[in-house]
Amino acid sequence: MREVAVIGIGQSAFGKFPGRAAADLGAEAVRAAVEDCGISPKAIQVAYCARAYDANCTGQGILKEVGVRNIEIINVENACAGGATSFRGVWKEIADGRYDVGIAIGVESMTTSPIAGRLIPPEKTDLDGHLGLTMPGMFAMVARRQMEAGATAEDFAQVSVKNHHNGCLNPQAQYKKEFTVEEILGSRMICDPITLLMCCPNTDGAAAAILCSMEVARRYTTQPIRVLASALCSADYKYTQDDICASPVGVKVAKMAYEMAGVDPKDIDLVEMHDAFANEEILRYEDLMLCKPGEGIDLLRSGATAIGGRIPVNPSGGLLALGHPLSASGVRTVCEVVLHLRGQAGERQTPKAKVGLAQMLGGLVTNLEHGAVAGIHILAR
Amino acid sequence: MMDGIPVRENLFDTIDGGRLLANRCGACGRIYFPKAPFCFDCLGKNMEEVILSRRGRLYAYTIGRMASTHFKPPYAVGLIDLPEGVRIFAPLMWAEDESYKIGMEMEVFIDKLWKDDDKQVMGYKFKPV
Repeated sequence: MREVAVIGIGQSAFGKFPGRAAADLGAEAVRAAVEDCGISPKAIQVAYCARAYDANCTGQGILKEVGVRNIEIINVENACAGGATSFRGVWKEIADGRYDVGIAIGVESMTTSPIAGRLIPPEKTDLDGHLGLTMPGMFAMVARRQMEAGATAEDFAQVSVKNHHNGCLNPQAQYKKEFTVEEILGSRMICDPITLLMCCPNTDGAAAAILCSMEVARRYTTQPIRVLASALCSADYKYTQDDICASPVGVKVAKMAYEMAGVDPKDIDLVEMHDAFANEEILRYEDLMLCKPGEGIDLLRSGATAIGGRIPVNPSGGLLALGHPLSASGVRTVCEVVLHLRGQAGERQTPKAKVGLAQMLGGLVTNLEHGAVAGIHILAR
Repeated sequence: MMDGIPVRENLFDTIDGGRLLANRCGACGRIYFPKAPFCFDCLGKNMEEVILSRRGRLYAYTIGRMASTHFKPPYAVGLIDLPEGVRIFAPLMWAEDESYKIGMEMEVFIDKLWKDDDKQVMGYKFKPV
């Protein structure tokens, strides 16, 4: 297996753009990634493109806008982990030696999707979805269990305060506004105890990353970012999830990733992760072994996961403030990690970052654990 | 019988005020709701029907304040643990005082869910005992 590098990253504007097509947003991200590393679009040999809603040859539609055609293009859907799946697809092609240069794209136009302005339900034939299950509803029930174990609604609000603060330092964030704990708690109730400002917003946007073999990478940069680990796995049946606050598949994928990278959780300098709901970030601290089981709340309260702390989590602003175009986020999290490893993250830079982790969790399917798929990439300079 | 069509076939009947229909693997004992065509765990093919207990404990719940696919707010949903070791997601009977508590005893009942065109769709819900 060959070592793979990320040499180019790009993100479109994130926000509500009902007048812009997915292909237009995707092309903006691809052009930014191409300009970032100075590679010719004609050098791209393979592409993976993730999109969840109304997808139909989205990758072809994007790449024709930048002069790329006549190559292998694979369109993927994997709920919120679609972007991570797309990134992993390109990584596999290059690691296996099939191609030398590829591009991973994630794009979503939420405002023109069938679920625009609504709570995201499971897949349309899913029984629990018909019976009233929604994404925030699921995480609200998880939050109730967290509160039984000692968490408070103020803790959840604090995650949102932290990530909105981070978003103010990110020129590409959808929302650049500070909020207080009181304002988060006082915002409109969505699914008790989850309030509006504890939920990620509806966002349109795209992200792209150009990957290549180390040999090719050296032609374009003196500082390629190495992909140390790529891990992706789907969930087990629901009966394996006795405690809905735990994510068996999340823990499994974390172990796979750390083993593959040959790093310990304490070696990680920053994390970008799926904070679709504020209370979720606290659970993921434990899955990713950033703290001991049951100590996620303590880690949050200690300030360790804020910018300037021991292990900054979601310095980009996360899904909560930067925004969450579903399939774009799994590529976008990798882009943010790359910025920190290069030392280009501006005011939100993690000092001396050497190793970073990008995580995504997604999907709600009756009788599978919630979080039907998990993906993790570990990158290093 | 019911005044309407069930949300899915083979999920429940109306006997005793409503019963949930599961099945159990004859080889390993794993119970499935909704019923499984064979055991997803040990792949055993000998499946027998199990009528689940009508009462269980509320494991978690939430009050929806924005519409879901079929329900207008406010509506209550929750997870109920049944003695057979099965956890069921279900709508909960609406309680004006929102007096749900984790651990409280709940009982299944059959109720109207929503209308598809002119047809009334029926399904299971839980209410405090």
